[in-house]
Amino acid sequence: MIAYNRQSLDNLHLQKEAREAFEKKILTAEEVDRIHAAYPYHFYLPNFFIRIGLFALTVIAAACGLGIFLLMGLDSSSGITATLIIYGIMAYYALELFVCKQKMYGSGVDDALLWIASTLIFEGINFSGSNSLSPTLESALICILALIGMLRYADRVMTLVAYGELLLCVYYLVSAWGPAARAILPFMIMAISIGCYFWFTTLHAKTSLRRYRSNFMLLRGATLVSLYLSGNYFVLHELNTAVAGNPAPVTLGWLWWLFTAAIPVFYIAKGLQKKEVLFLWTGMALVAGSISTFRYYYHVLPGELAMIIAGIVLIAGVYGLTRYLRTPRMGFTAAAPDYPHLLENLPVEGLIIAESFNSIAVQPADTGVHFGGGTTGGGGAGGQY
Amino acid sequence: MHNSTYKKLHAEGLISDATLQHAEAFETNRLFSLFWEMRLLLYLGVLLLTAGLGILVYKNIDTIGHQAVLAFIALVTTGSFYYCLRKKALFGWELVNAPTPFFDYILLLGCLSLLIFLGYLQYAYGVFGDNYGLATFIPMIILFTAAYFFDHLGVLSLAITNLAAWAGIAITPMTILREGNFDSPRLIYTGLLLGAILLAMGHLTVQRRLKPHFEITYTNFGLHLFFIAALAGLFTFDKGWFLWFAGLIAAGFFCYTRAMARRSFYFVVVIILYAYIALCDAVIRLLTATYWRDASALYLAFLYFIGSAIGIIFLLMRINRQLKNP
Repeated sequence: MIAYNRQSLDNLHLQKEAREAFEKKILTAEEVDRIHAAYPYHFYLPNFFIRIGLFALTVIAAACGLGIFLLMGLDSSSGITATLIIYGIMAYYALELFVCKQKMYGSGVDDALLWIASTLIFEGINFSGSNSLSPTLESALICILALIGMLRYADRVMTLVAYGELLLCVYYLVSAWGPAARAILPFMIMAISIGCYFWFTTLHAKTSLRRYRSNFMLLRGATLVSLYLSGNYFVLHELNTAVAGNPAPVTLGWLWWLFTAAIPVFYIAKGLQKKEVLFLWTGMALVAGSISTFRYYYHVLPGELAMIIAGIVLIAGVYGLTRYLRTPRMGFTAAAPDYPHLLENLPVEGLIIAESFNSIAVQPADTGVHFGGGTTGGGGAGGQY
Repeated sequence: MHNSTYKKLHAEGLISDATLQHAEAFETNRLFSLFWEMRLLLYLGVLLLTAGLGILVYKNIDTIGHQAVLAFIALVTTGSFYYCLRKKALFGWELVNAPTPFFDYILLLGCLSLLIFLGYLQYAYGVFGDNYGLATFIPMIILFTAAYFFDHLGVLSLAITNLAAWAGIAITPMTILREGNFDSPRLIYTGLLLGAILLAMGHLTVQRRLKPHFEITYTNFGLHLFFIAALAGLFTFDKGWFLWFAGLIAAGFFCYTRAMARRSFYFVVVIILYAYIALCDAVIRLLTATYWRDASALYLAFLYFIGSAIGIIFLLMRINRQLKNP
């Protein structure tokens, strides 16, 4: 099913692992070289930044090609539909050629062609006829196209799109059944999320599906997020308002508040207990979501005081943790991981700092110093000087 | 890598006995690093605390409580700098590693709260008078000093941002995208000059071995600023646009050879894309000048884009090969 050469995929994975093991100083350089020689791969696999450049340029070239097609006197809507779909199929064909003949893998060109092909075919079908697709059909169609992208090309973003559209499809389908069905919808999404989590975890462990491992890893993360969102008070309240039209409090409010508060904590605890990054980071991100949800409905403290207190608690907490982990305890350490990562040699952290603290640190020269409003809640906003 | 993989590689004679034992010991005694998690939490903590303090001062500006707020900010500042001075490693012109991630962010906290304090002093008492240049100049000096003294790339980035603000331009990525404020000739020339200065700083940093690891930060800001300003010049000035184009391509070629020499994929791709945008602008100008009455200009433009994009794709693929296999 997968378009790429399987042997090369396996060998590439092994080479990557060997390089990581070398960076952890387990393997020697000669051993890595021997492994590379014994397990070669035949992919055109460029550097990350070259990939981004190739992606952008492929999109430009394909868009202009489409432009010429559309310029060639196609005025009727059925003509446009046909052009879009034919062009999409051509993009798929080009993609197959590049993957099978040119051995491209994650080269930017193949990524771009996959997205172009899927988008155009979807737009073509959606454009056809005066009555466009119903939301249910629309999301089902996107789900199928994204599923092709996942199964045939192991594309990671397509994987996430497929899962998201699956849930949307269920949502549209069930909410059309009436108020009773809408009442149990959150529980259905929760059940689907939990079921999918265990299913994807099983699939992730299967050797026969090893080439989809990163996809299943992402899907596991997505199920964690969808489980949280289906029980989040803010999400339910907003959806309820959108469907029913009146912003009434949600029934069973206490239950949703319980889920909103407990699920992130549960994830973090699970992540620490199982030493699993996925749970830990999802949990940390969702804590921020829960705090924002809470502050959206209850203003117990002025925003700035809440920010100051949260800031102090965070800094003090990490200080305590740094001291506590000065010698590793219970398998945890505060030291940097021993393998470098992709962005290590680029000024990314500095740039993030400059970007986010800009409003605090920079005082505009032309207008003089004036205090401006900052927004409340969450993180990210600051007072302007 | 799993133990089974190591065993398989060992059975095939690709790795030695010692490596296999080492690997098995490593995988069983493996520690779970909380390094990035702690960094993220510290970053959030500093962000929340400084933003909160900024708003608090602003809200309490006319009340009796603002003295207390100010005292608190002063306390945070002195506390942070006291901690950093006590913990810091000996100064050196090479890379000095921070003792802990904690140190990095406390330094950041100290710098930012000092700036909030100064900002307040200027607002309430006008200590720098009406000289607004001075009001950005002093923080900039503080930030540069702290960046070099404590060896901190984040503070250096803030200092460069401040330098640009002092010159009257915003140079962080989001502000450039949001405001796109290179519309007046003064800003364009300032941007060009500042970009060139930053590139020169990057060059000197390496050549004189004055904190050579700061180079990439200078070059990154300098390169983007220079080329964005040059592109703005190309777009803005209809008279003499060809000079701008030629200058931009020449500068691009100069930077390109340097980026190739240091084998930086990132800078090479960035420079090529900037030069490509300039080329597209030039071609569109020529097309509209020649064929402006005609729909064929549109066809030609499309054909040009297809051809040039494919051309650059091949160029990038070639560069990738060159940089990967020296």
